[in-house]
Amino acid sequence: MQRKNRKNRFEIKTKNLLILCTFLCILSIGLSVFTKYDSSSISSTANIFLSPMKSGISFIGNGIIDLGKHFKLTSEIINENKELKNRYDLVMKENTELKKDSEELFRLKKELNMVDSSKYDFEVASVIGNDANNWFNMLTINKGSSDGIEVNMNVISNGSLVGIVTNTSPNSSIVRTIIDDLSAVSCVVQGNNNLLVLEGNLVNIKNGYLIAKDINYSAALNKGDKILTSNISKKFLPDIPIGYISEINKDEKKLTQTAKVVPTVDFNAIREVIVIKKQKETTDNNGNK
Amino acid sequence: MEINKIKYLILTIILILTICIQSIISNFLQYVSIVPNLLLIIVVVLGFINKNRTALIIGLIAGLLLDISSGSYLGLFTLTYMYIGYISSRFNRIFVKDNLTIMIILVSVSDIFYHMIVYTFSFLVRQRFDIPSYLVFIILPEILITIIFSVILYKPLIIFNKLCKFNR
Repeated sequence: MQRKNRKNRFEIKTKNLLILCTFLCILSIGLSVFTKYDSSSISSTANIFLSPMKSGISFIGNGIIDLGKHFKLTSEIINENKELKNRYDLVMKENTELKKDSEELFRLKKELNMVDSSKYDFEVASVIGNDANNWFNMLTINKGSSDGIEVNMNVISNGSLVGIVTNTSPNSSIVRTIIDDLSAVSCVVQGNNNLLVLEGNLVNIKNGYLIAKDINYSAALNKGDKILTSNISKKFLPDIPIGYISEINKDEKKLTQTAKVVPTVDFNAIREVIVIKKQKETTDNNGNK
Repeated sequence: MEINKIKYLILTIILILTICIQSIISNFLQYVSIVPNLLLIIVVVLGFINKNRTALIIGLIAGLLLDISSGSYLGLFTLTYMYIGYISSRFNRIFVKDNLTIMIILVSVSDIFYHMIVYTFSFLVRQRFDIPSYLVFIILPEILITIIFSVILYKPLIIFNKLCKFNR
């Protein structure tokens, strides 16, 4: 009898607890749907604590994977080394030629006063986590606002666009990749400067491509054309390569055409990325900076 | 009371670790590119073998942690996981405990429920109606890999449950 009394004094009935929590949750969801209240500050605070753990776990895991790779056959490595040395010679040759060209270009540009003084500043970061959910394609990187990273900075890997920073905390930030369903990047085709919008799509990326929409019907596109970010994009810096056109479909209404674009970056195997520490300077509606 | 607090503290730490592992595991499953829903496995398994109150609290903590770490609507995953935990605890009245088959069915059904919630709130609201493709490319593979992981994790979780004496 006594026991029962004690229990009753402290505890709410489970069903009532369920109803109470349901009510609170619905209230909170309603708040985040109908008001402009942004929950990103909460997640960025949480990431202060989560990111050291994530980097620890990914460090251990990567260590295990690397250990496995060490057992690769030595002969394989020797062969690869030979091949790489040959390629290195070739690349060096090319490099000296290109250097000569670039020096000349620099000289000519200087004469024309066209030298771009705004060289980009970089920050190398390693990927410590993907999304815990299969519906989104976000990356967590191990550099944050204390390293000078801000929201809307562009992220590249191997010289190609990976995505854009959407949330920062002091020691980590979250990057939305261009293959995420929410992503849309304004691009141009290298060479003929046709504008297009590259949209991430969950289904298409499983088949290995992105969809480029709103291309002018008369634009001449070829398979293998290189896609770069465009100058008119609000958030993305110009002339960062993204990928190549693999298929072109003309619209039935003869207004636009769509193209399939294969991204250069292998989004399943990104370990390190580079954040460009320069935000695009955009103008407002009046044309002011 | 003290022991109760410590129990839930340990559980919280394990759930946080699970969220971290879940967000990193895709680096190690390089050729699969689909992430198993480890958090769901923990909530369903521990929910099934415990009383409904404990199950509800486990679901609540798990969902809240997920919401805080990555949710776009605060409270959505809390609600989902809380009900998943609560409902799976209801099933241990009907079925015998320690039954792997029931567990697998429960895990897959609650995974479908979870995906329906995610789809409705972040894709349907943006007018994406490509449900068959989502089913083929995301939901079914994830259910499959989640089932595989739930078979692996089932025994360790039961041992963990006994150690922490949740069912008391």
